[in-house]
Amino acid sequence: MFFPRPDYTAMSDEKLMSLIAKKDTKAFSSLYDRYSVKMLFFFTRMYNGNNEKAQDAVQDLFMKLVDFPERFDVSRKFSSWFYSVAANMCKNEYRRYDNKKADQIDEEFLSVDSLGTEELFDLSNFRDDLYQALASLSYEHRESFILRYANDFSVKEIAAIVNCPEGTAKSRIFYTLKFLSRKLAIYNPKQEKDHET
Amino acid sequence: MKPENPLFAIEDFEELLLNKTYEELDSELKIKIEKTIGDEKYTELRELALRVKSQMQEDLAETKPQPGTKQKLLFSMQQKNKTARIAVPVIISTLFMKRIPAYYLIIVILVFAGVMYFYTPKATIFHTFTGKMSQPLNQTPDTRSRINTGNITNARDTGSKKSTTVSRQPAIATGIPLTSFNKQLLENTILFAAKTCSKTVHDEMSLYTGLIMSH
Repeated sequence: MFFPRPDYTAMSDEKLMSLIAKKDTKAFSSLYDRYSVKMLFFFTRMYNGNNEKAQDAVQDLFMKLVDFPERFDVSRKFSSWFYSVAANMCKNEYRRYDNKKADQIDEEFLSVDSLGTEELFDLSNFRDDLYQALASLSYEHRESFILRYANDFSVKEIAAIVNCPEGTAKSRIFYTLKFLSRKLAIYNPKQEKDHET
Repeated sequence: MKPENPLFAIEDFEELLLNKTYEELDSELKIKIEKTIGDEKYTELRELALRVKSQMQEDLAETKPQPGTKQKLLFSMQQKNKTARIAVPVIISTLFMKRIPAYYLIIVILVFAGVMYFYTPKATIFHTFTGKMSQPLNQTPDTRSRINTGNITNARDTGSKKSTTVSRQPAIATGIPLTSFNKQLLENTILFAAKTCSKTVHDEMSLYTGLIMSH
């Protein structure tokens, strides 16, 4: 009555972080609810659909918040900082794990012409094809694209998260989209008409 | 005239894709896009971008983290808080435990000192801690007071009024050269004390006698 309960849902991310630094479990719970799904999606896509690995990564990421809340750069927006931590985790994972294999896949998929027409026709599910095409991209292109289209970050924010110039982020997104338009041409109604004729 | 970089237009064009149709663009942008990819391609890419975005948003909504993860993290956080609360007294008690040997050592020293104090003859302790020689036991309180004032009358020289001045400080402590008379006086006093005192005091006296004689 005399001490009204703080409304965690109305608090900003930065405020919640300051409370987490004071070991407030409710603040942590609130922040987890806000970001866990987004982060899981980001990690799942970055790890090419490996859900188990993504779940572990989410846990590790939030564990970092619990262990080192003081590492949050107060001069930055929380979401940008948090995604940059996640992006670095992915980068480290890529360096550590299966780097050579990823490069091989990239080369294979980046040349659209290498995929046979029959193979393209077999692909019936847009969703599966989209993620398969994304998985074939380089780490940097996929990262910028997911941040833009799934997490709705602006180009400026993406540049801050992935630590690159804005122009680089823009061109990465554009070329990924262009690459997808070639890979997913089968789903283009105009393209279908062309095939029929 | 500086040539226009087509990449610049493409990069900017990315920003527009999700928001504006080709028709909605202003004339300047339309010219730029027509130069680089054409209006058909723009529309095609825009459709794809919107579809990709909608697909990703849909999948995002369906994504569910493992149910136990949050509880696990909260439990971990609570454990850490508890650990922090427990850690302080634990650290203090650990430090205390580490200091225990020092306390033991102090206690042992005190006990040893106490035993030494009660079981060692007082004269020895007196000498040990003060470095002063005990007052000769044959002196009466009256004589002692006179010694303390600096004047003493030679006991043998009762006939004359001649008085001899001796130092109030013991000769050993001060290092003042002893005259043959003082030597004699001290020797007699020590020998008398040795006859009447305990063996320990006797030993002490003998020691000092030896020292005085060798002076």
